[in-house]
Amino acid sequence: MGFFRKRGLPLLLVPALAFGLALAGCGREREEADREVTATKPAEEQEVPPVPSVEPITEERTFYDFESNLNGWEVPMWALGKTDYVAQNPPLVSKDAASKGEASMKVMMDYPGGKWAAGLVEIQQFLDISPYRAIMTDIYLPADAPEGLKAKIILTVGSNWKFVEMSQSIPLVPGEWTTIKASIEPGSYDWKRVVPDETFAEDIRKIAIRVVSNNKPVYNGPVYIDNIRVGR
Amino acid sequence: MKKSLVLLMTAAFLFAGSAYAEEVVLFDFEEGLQGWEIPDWAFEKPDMVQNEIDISSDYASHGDSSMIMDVDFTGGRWTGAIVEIMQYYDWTDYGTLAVDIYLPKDAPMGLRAKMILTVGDSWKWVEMSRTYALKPGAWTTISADLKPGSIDWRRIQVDESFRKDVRKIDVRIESNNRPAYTGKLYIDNVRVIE
Repeated sequence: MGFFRKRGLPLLLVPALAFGLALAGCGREREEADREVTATKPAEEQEVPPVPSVEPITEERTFYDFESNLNGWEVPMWALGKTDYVAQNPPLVSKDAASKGEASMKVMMDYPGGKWAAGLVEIQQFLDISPYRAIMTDIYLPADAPEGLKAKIILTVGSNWKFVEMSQSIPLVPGEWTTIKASIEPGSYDWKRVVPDETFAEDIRKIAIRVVSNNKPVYNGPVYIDNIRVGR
Repeated sequence: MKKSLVLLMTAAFLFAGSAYAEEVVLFDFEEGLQGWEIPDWAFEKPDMVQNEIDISSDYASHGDSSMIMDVDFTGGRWTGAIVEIMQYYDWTDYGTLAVDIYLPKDAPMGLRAKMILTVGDSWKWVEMSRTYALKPGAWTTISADLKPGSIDWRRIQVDESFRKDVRKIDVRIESNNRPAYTGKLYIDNVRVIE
């Protein structure tokens, strides 16, 4: 027992200490290894949210220019019976004004004022516009129209026919063509409650254009829409 | 005088030749259905509502007769009526495919139509990317661009090979929940245009 007290305790302590140091060493190695892994993670695994390009659009493709017919654009049936939808059916091809070619789509509107009212035209067409970065259209208000009307593009996308509006309405300027433009690139903030991903633009099912009077102004007259296009 | 008459006749002949070359009528249903039929599979599907087809001289957009189709759109769900022809075509020289559809005056608004092609070795079913609204009491022309880059066809990047190997043409009339319609409709003048 005395022998054990004098020699045995150190004999037990030395291996224990060595084992402890070894463990601590391993821990350091593991920490270093972990640090190395952590150091390499950002490049490999950290997800960077996609950001739409700020490069200018250099190539455009016009889908609808209304030179000879409406190309399938119409006031949808569901809008015809609604009191807050004021576009008269059918729209017309008109040579009164054009931003491309000689004709545009003329939509007669009748905004009563005092309440929210909208004129909406749309086309139902399956389109893959993923090779492009933006969708655009030009809208003309006659010079004698009041200020205050605003417009946006609305897309219906994907197999669940999701209705996706632009996040902003663009004010229309009487007597001028106004271009409504929205980015369709992944990460775009141009759409309400939806941030496009890689698949967003691959399965477009409808394109609609809505011109709104939010309580004001009162306006009974034409709105011209032309050159509905995509660009990249 | 004789010289100018010859020149005038030559010009008229050339003009007539070029005008003729612009459009080729494939089917005008003057003598019969010319091979058009309701596909067998369509009789087995509850959402396909065509009953029978024949030729009729009630209406025509080309010649004196057209194909008459007896349909029964129930409303309340998607239903379609389809006819097709299986025939091989190389439309490399043509840019547009078109067909005329007549809806009688007493039919409701809301019926729509499209063409469908079956193309290539894999017999790929390619629908038009959009439908045309049919107007009661009028002929409606359904047309689609066949050229490379066309956006008129769904889920396909249209290249030169697309129009080179066409194997079937289908015409489908649709009611998407509404309207209900039991009656006739007429199809005529299936054509390609340069």
